[in-house]
Amino acid sequence: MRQKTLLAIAGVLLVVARSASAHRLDEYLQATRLSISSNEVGIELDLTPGVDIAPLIFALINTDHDGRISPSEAERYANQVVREIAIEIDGRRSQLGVLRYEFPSFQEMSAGEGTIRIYARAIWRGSAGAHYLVYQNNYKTDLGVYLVNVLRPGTPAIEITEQRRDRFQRGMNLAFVLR
Amino acid sequence: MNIPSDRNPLLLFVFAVLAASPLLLSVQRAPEGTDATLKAIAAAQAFLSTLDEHQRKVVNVELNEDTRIRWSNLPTGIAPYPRNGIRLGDMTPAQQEAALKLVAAPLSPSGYQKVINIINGDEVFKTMAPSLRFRENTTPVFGRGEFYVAILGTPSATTPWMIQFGGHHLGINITLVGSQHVLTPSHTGAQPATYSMNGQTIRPLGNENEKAFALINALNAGQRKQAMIDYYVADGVLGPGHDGEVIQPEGVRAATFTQGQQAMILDLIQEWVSIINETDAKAKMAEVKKNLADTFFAWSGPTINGSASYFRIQGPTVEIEYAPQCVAVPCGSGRPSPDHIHTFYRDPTNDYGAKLTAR
Repeated sequence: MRQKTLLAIAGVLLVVARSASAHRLDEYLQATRLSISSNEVGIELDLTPGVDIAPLIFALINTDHDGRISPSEAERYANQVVREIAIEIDGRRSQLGVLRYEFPSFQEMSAGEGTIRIYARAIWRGSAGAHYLVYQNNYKTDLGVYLVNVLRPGTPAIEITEQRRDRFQRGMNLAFVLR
Repeated sequence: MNIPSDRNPLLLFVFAVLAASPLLLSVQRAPEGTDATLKAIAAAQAFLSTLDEHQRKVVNVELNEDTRIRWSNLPTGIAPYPRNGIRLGDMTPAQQEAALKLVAAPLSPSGYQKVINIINGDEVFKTMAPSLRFRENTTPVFGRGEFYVAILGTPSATTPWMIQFGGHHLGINITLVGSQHVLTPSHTGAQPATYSMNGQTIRPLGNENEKAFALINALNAGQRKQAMIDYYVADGVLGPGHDGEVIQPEGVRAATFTQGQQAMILDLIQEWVSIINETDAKAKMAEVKKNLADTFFAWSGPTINGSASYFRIQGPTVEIEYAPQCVAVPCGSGRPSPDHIHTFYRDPTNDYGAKLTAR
């Protein structure tokens, strides 16, 4: 048994370059999931600051610098983010309202894995026929890396017929049909 | 397994390998046979019998919607929540052996080998840890000792229970319902993607990479154009925390594939499906095959093998994502590496055995 183990040790060789990190450091990951129903467009936005920029983002949220995110600070930040997101449906700008939000602790954010989650929605009254939605995220474009996806509609009454994104997924154009 | 950090990295590694020797040996002990349920129950009981009362309480937790989601691609120390169960590093060699027999019981020999290859890869990765750059108050921990085993619910031949085994780059979630065993959602990953051990070059996710590049290059120009998504994918979208979400599929539909291309995508999908034992994998593959016409294959990145390219397979009962990640500092846009891979395997209709437990 020991002989096999020693053989294994002797055989261990790295054939890869040393890596410095496996986790995001200086970027602000912003992952959006859109959902479409006949009367609203929902947005679920996950914001994950990398280790190096977590103090900067935390400072933007924790405006009284007491080291804790108060409910009013959380609300203010969620609204600040959502104001930078534009939704147009059939060429008309829709007003996005924050529904709720969840914030991690600074310690979790410092680890580069604490995710802020913001839920928002835009109300619309869809009529039967073809529609076109434009989504654009303009929040922290100097630091952001982006993902945007649309969830498969929960009803056959809505069919997504086309989805296009820009190269870095800050924006998405969706064509869909409401039956 | 606590080792002073001022030692030579090679010595540290040798020490860690010695400490984890049952893991190395257990590579040769993957189970054969088909009666995975009875094997898993017997293995669970045998494992629990090696533990003291406190350990048993930690390992055997309630199965519910809050406990079953505690898996992650992240290492100990920066995962968003503590994993269920106890770490291999806190077990005696006999307990480790029993724990790994439990993990192996519902898996195929090749699936179990893949698990072991990922664990050994993380041990290799640990030797790179001194160069990792993290804030002082964060302490990611790597290596064989950092993989957690848990039993959720009561091992039973009739009522649902789960085996969870996970750590950095591994999240094996097996829901056992009677004679059926469900592997979704699960996560495999690798960094480094290639390492050498015992005179062999190991690529834990090498087959996945080779088969995917073979498939994208087997498509004709029209199919490939449909498969290509023209945007950069910075991260995975099917990972932990995304239960119940089904994104709108993209890419080329397998209905347009030739018989040969269909065989290739099935062979690729099998890399995830066949982590579970042969009986369950066969049933799952039959279901995937039945829905193949409605299955999409999407690709982002170069099609030259060795590139850091992202792909996603989405069908009515299968979702697979292969997402290269960054390795460099800074982890800037456009710099994913083929040497750091995350994959996620889901079934939008049957994660955590939803179809079976709803009956």
